[in-house]
Amino acid sequence: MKGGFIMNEKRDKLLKELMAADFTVIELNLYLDTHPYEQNVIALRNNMVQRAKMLREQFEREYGPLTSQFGYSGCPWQWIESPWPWERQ
Amino acid sequence: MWFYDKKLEYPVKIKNCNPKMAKYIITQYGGPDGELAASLRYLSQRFSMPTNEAKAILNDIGTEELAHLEIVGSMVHQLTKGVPAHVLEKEGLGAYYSDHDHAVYPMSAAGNPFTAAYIQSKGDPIADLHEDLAAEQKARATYENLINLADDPDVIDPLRFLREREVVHFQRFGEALRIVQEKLSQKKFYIQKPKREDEAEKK
Amino acid sequence: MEYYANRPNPSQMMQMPQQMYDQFMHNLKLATAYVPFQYIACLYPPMEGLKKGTIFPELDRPYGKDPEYTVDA
Repeated sequence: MKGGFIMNEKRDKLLKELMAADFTVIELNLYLDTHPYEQNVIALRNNMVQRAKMLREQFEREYGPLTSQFGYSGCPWQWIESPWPWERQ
Repeated sequence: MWFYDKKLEYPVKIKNCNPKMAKYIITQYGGPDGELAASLRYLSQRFSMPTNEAKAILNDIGTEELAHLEIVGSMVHQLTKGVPAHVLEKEGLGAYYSDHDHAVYPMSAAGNPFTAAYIQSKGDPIADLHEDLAAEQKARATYENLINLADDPDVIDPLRFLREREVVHFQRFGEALRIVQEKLSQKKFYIQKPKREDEAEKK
Repeated sequence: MEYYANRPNPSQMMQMPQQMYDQFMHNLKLATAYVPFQYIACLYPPMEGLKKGTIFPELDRPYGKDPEYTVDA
């Protein structure tokens, strides 16, 4: 049984880049939790946070909010829009 | 507190339904070594950890496990979405369908509903961290079993990701254990474990 | 694994019992488990790290490729 995908390759590609940047931050955060004095790693992590922020802003500008807590919404309420992450996209 | 980021930690795009795989993969949703057990265990244990490093790592890995729970749930959902009842029944999900239709319900592959009996929060930081190390190994082993059962690359891909995360978490818990062990040996903890917390402060 | 079997044992080289060697060189105690600390070297680029499940090459243990790590690869 084949599932249908909403084809939006551009959105997909940008989201995957953001996923990768956020994932790198998560990995560095966990490392820093047990290595709190490593200055170089903190600098590296802060750099990656900046890159992730830039990608996030770019994504949200075009495709709507990724969080309900931060950022402004148009009308109708953008947060509820498809696709939701567990759906085939 | 928690905020929700409207994206998965790792993409899940399963093109072909497979109820039989869903029946097995659901064990990492609500089973004994699954992500719900992991997140509940770590987020509960963090309250009684003695050092900032341990508190942070339990907090952060517990949070990441919630993200993994979401990935596993998404996999089960995509593997069964749109599959008619008679096909679910043929693939072994008849009993599940009777009670849960196409929903995602926290249970093990054998059909046991999730229980807190799957976790421990002992309060003794050494015991708790050893439990966490064991939990990560059990999760890794389970993902390897699931990878052995699967043959669809769309399914194997996120399973490999989740398996590798367990390896990294094990390393972090190991480091947290080292830090806690050193901190406690400085306090000569094992010589006399105080009966009450205020007694410990008097020392 | 053969490399480790044939490598001379440091405690044997120094002619002291393994336990004494551990206690002096690493300050290891009995009835205590030790996981070595990771020290960061280089990182995978973000997309590769995401695909592999870690940004750290030294923690990259893919299933089936590392006989030390998997029982029935």
